[in-house]
Amino acid sequence: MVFRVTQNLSYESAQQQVQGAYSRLYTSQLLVARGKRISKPSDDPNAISRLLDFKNRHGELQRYSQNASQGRAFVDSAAASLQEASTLIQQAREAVIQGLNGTLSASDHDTVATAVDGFLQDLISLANSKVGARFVFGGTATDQPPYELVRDASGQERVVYHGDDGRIVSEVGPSLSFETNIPGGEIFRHGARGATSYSGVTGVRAGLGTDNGVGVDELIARHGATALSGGSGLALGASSTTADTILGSHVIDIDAVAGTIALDGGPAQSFTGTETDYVLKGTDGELVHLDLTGLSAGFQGQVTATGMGDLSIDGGRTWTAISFSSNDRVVDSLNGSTLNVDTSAIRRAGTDSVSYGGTLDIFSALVAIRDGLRNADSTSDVGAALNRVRSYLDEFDAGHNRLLEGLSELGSLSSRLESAESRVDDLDVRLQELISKTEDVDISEAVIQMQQNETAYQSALLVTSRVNQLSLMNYL
Amino acid sequence: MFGFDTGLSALSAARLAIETVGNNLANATTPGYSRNRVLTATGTPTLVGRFYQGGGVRVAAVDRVTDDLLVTRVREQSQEVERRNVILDTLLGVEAAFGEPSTSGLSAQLGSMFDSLSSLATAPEDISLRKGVVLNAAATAEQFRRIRSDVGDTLGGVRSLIKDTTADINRITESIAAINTELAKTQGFQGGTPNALLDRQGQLLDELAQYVDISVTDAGAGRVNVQIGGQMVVNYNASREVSAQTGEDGEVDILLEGSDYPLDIRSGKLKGFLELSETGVGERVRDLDALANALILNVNRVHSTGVPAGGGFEVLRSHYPVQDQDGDGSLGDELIGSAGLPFEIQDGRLWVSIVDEASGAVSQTRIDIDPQAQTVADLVQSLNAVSGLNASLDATGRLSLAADPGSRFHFGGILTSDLAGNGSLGSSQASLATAAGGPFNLSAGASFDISVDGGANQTITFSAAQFADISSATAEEVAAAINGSLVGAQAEVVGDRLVIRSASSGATSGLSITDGSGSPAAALGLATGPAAGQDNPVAVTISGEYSGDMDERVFFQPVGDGTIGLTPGLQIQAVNAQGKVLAVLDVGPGYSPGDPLEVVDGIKVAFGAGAVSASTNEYAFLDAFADGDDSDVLAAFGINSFFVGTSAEDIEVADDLRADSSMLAGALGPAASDNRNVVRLLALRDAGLGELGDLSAQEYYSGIVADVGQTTSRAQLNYETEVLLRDSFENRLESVRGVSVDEELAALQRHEQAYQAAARYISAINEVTQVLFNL
Repeated sequence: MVFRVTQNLSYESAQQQVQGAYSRLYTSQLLVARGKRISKPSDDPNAISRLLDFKNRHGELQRYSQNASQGRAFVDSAAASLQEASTLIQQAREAVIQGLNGTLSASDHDTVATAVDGFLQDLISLANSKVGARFVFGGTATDQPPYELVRDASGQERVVYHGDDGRIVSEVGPSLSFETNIPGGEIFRHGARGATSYSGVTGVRAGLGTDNGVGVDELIARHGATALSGGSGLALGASSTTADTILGSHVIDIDAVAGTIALDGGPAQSFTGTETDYVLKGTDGELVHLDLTGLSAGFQGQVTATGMGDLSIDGGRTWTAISFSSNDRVVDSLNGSTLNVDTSAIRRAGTDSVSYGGTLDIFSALVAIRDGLRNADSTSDVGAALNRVRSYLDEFDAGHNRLLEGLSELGSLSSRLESAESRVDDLDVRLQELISKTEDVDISEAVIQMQQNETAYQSALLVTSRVNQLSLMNYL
Repeated sequence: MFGFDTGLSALSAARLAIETVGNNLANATTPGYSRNRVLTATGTPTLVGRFYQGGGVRVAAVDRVTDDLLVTRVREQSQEVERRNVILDTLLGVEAAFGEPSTSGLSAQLGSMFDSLSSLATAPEDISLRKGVVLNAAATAEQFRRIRSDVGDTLGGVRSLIKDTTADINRITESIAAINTELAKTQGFQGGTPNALLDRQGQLLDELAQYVDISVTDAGAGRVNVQIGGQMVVNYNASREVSAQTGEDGEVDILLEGSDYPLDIRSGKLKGFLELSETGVGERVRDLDALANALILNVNRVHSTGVPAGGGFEVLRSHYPVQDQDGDGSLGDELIGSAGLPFEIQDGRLWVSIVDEASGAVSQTRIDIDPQAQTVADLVQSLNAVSGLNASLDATGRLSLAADPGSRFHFGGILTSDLAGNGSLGSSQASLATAAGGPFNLSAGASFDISVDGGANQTITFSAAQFADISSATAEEVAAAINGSLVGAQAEVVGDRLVIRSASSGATSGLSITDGSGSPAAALGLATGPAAGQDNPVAVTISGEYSGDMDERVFFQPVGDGTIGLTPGLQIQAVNAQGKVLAVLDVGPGYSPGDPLEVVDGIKVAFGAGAVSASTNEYAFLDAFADGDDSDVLAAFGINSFFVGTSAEDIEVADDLRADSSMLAGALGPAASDNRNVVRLLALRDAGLGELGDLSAQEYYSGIVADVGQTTSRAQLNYETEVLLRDSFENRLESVRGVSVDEELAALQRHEQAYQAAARYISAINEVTQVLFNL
């Protein structure tokens, strides 16, 4: 059967053709106008989840880049503070070197000590630097000044660290996290613990075992009682208990014939034999008080004087009896630290200053230097005191080196952050290319497509108008 | 005058034909009109003489030209198009609700939320960054609710459309039944076909077919019976109504009047609506709810064990109320595992930390959680028992927690401040221990001699009766067996291992074992000594916050004998329960007793001065817990939660956080820049969530969007295909039944000429007759 074509059919089909052509034209117009191939999930369901993923990663990468640059700002400002601190430390060092010049007077020492104190304060305020509201050197405790100068119970000034050893970790790339700070505790730290040294006043030496005190301390050796070996008629003087300084066993050489007496082979002192509280002096300040009235006549020989006593490292709060062995353990009742002392060669009572090797951080070194300079002139041996200050200067230099290490670590952190940032930026550029490839329209292709659709629409209109003009009516 | 009769019949036939053409032309554009055609036949011939003479023409019928098969196919195809159209319209609505891809859609918003967390990690104490996280999370929650509400509205719309559709179906079936009645009447009076009624009937059937798949059976006299899903809805003159019912599960059923059994609808608009309500839209709603639910649970799990700014909470209130499940009017007696809380509680433990504000000291209490045995009141009691914490359950079923003045509480940062147990490491008593936990293979009658404090040997003999299975003796059984006869010393099980300690302490205390028959000491791995105590025990101090992923029991055991800080080469090993060495700590010269040493994952240990011994198997151990709450009890109650709600419909950032962003628990410890919990939260960005089939939230959401796109694009394609098919059937039908104006004009010419010819014929007859009359 021949397919009948009715007017309705031709109208409807024309309408469909025109509608279809116009709809295609409209779609391609939209495509060109928007520039985006995907404006809703059904435009390309296979690409949509990839596209969402790309876009999210784009957001992530931007965040990484910002994190890295913020981290870098933090690190750089920490580095700037350290740079300044390093300059300050050099100036302080020069001042101290001047202060150690042997020709200076007591008041000059004082002036230098005051200058050192100023440097100390400046250094503390640098260690308390802030970026915005955050303290840079406090670890993760960024809300309080990390360093504070306090006077402890024994009257010693110390710089206390209130920060922690936490690192602030920032995401700066996919599965890439960097630390963006170095806690002050690692920069202004003390070095590896070394041997404990003593100023040598009493004759104590470092014992076995590791001490756990920090910085400098004072070990007080006090005299308790003196005992004399018998046979000579020699007795203790009236003020022996209170004023003797000998500790351990000492030899007294007596020549009653010549009327001389000497301690530990030291210079001979003369006596008459009637003294009841004779002061026998050793070469290093050892003192024994003797009653010579009972001395056997014509005695020529040796008497052993043994001084017993106690040790304290907490300013005399607690005392440990001296055992004259290789290891006496003295505990600081204030902070619980233990000092291992070799007391086998202890000679006299007195105060030894103890320095825990390697444990002086740069602040304690400055404090020790300042106090050393201030007190040098009140000690019996100014030269020795200044030498001790010089040894603190070594610790000070070591502290400076550690600070410089921190500075270089910050520098490398900064450059790592910078390279992470640029790597992330590179990634982002590539990702954006991918996004564009996925969702953007190829404009030239889309325009050509639109022109084709336009032509098709025009043809549809033309054909429709032509066909609809035809009717049998025109010919009847 | 048969000549006139013939002419007259031709005239009237031609007139009728012309009128039919007129009617056809008049209805040329009437939708559904089938052109009419006059069918003529020769009239009955009459015998004239010996010949039959033709009886003229008679109109046999005015026929509707149509193709019933095509009509049916068009009808079926229209149903399909309608169904596809409904699906497409709705899915386009759903797609628009998701509004992806865009810079403000849920995908971008989820990304922003995690980005703001990433930003917060760089400066956790920054209040504006904290605010940023809360605002971004709130925007995420809002997007969830908006999409859920838009899609939900669409679902509601579909459901109300179902109701409207059933009303339409009822209207149509009623009309068809009415036409049936009319047809019965017309049929009774005359033989002619009531084409107008049949056209109307066809239109109604077409309309009905768009709504639902129908099967039509001829009921005689042009009447039809209609079935939907195998059930008669039009039966001659009667129709039965259908109605929609939404079940509790959200599924919609179509019920026939007087029946409880749902109709099986297979196609048509109604099927489209039903399908949408069940899968197309309903599934998206379920997916979104599942995503929101998983996000809430997982974020809250991490957040609830974090520490807020300021190092702890003063007051917290749970978000999800406990429900009175057994209806006895009391809330406290509900088991926490079935108290109507939205998330499941597991067997596990909860660590409560109380922080002293002045000293910063932290004390931790462990609460064991058993959801099947513990009631809400038990939990409140356990919390209350924590010193410094007050817990109560209010009348609405919410749990309130408050710290004593001067202290704060939190559930995070497992600070292992105390040893779980010091078996014997550097203790003041003499001790001998086993190197590992049981079970031990002992033999009956085995014995060893033990001397306490240098005293006489005591013989310990093991008998089978002391053990459930002597070849697999537990440490507890061995300890009991030893304690049964040992004087002056005590056997204990500490951290699974067996340790024998002298009752006396100090340098004079001592223990020594001589293994006897059956070598039980060797079987136990028990050190034989001799062991001595010491005057000053080694102080072991644990500090730090464990940051590992798994719970770990760490044993500290010396390698070699010696004195801490003194003996060259002295080391203490940290070993986990599986025997893996986690760290080797140098505690010889150079170690200052009391200095904390890094063990693993944030745990630090310090050893005081004193002697330790490997030859007596000295050890201490600690338990480190990876999660402050592995029971999810906090998330289930909504204590210190980040999000509240249970689905996409009601997800929201917790009020506490919105009011005060310092409540954001981004830390695990008290330090201001502690970002460890932020980092844990951040890890959720890419973490596969078990609730989502190990997909990350972002991946799951992308999946939903891809599904939406896939479904919509398929629906679009289906719709277009079905429209093409329908158009092609319609065109063919139109080709058969449509009015061609040209054709009609030609017919008009033809019939006009026939009329003229008939008139001429009559006039010829007339002339012939006239001639006759004039004869």
